Amino acid sequence: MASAGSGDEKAAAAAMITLISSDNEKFEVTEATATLSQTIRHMIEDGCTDGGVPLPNVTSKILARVIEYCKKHATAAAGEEGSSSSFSDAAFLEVDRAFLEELEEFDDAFLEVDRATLFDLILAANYLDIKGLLNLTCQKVADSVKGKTPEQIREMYNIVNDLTPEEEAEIRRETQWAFE
Amino acid sequence: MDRILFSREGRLKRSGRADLGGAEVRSYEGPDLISRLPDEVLGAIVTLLDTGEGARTAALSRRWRYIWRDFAPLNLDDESFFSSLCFGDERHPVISQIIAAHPGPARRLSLRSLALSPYISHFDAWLRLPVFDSIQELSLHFPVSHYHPEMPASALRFASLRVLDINNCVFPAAGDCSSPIFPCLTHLSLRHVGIAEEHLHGIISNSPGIEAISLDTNFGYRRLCISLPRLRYLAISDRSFGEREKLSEVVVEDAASLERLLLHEVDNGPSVRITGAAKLKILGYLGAGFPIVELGNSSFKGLVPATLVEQFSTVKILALEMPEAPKLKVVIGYLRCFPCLEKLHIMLPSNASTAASRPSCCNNIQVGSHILSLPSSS
Repeated sequence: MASAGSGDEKAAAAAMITLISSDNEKFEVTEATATLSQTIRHMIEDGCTDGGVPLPNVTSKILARVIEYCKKHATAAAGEEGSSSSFSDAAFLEVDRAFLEELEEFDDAFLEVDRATLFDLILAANYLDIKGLLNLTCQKVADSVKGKTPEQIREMYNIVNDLTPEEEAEIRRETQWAFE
Repeated sequence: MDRILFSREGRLKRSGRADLGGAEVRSYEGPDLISRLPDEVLGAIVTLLDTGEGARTAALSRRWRYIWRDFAPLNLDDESFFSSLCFGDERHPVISQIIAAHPGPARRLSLRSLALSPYISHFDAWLRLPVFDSIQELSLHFPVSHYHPEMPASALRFASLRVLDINNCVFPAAGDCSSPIFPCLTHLSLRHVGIAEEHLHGIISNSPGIEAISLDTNFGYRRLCISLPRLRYLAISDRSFGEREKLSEVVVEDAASLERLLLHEVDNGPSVRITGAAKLKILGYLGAGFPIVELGNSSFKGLVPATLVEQFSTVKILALEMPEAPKLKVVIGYLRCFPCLEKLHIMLPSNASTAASRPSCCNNIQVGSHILSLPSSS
């Protein structure tokens, strides 16, 4: 029960992986950080990470942010991949909140980005297959449209309505329950 | 530098008559970046929306027309859907319509607005539908009542479940079916649920990946023995009055990943024994209600550290439930056991005279490395 071996020590002893962004910047990260990405995990398993992992779809600006996320969440133990929202238990929230604060505060601050960056993060998370990050960033977009009408969502995201009135009527007919 | 500057609400430009059936079309100054995301990513966003909101995204534009139907796994949550004014008889046809409008697969099924008994054949029929074959989350909450209806066995057929969350019913009798098996389960929450001990143990022992368990005022089992290497969260509460067979002993063996142990609202609760909890960060509420809490080789009886063999240096947050205003002696006793505490919550009974001046019954005491300040109780 007394002081258990700290995660940092273990991480320091672990192998390092070099990630190379589309603009040729190199980032050295621990294997524990890199393997939050399933894409990179598979590359490591296949033994093709010598000489670095080129990531032609990710700019250095976005990769730096992605690595920041992975570092934080790699030390915060594996496995918290969303879904716990449906598990929040009112009776325990008081104590729970205090515990979750730190990681949530990090996530909140992490998402303080402009929309173009948010979408770039989504694309990077999708490409690198980082479930937690994809969920977090998609949730941010989902939250932004919650409670809004289609017209409000269009305004917010500059979506041009190119549906004909007939098509709109058909959509409403198909899912009438959603529009009542 | 950001590549594109956005105005918060893309400013509207009227472009006059357009070529779409003579309708007036609006265009915006900013680029439509969201519609450039790939179909499966838009689907990943839409599946996080409430059922109705997800379906309504089809009306945004042609690009979005089939995203909900074809790329967003169905997230059927009836609670977000109905106003409290509408009755069960109006609700169940809508649930059927939603299922008919989406070809599946479904990701989540959450039915929390209907009573089970009058609609049991509906529930059974929905739960058997192939569209739900691979759901990852199942929440079935039924209205609170003294009588606990029996859940249909079809609710326990989903081998891909990660989250199982059941309220206010009883599991099918153990004789009727073999123990359900959920090899991917990570979250288990049972509240006001009747379940046989062998059934519960069957579920838990067949789900080695469970990370979180919440058990609240259930009945049908006396002893819970858990050995789950990935368990990070265990919450137990009991508000029953002892008229039914209830939990009296909890044993968690080799709790290598356990970070949060929450015991709450227990007046006559189970004894709790935990071994190997080397990562425990949060512990509470320790209070008068638990007969014995054993952590490793140390034990706490009621509010008093009884046997103290080791210090719990991993614990950062401790919550105590006290029958009266905190006594300095007791608090200092705890601080000796938990030398690395960052937060100490003390829950006082709301009717305690010493707490009368405080609207909330919970106090936070921030604990520095050596300095402790207690709120004055006068």
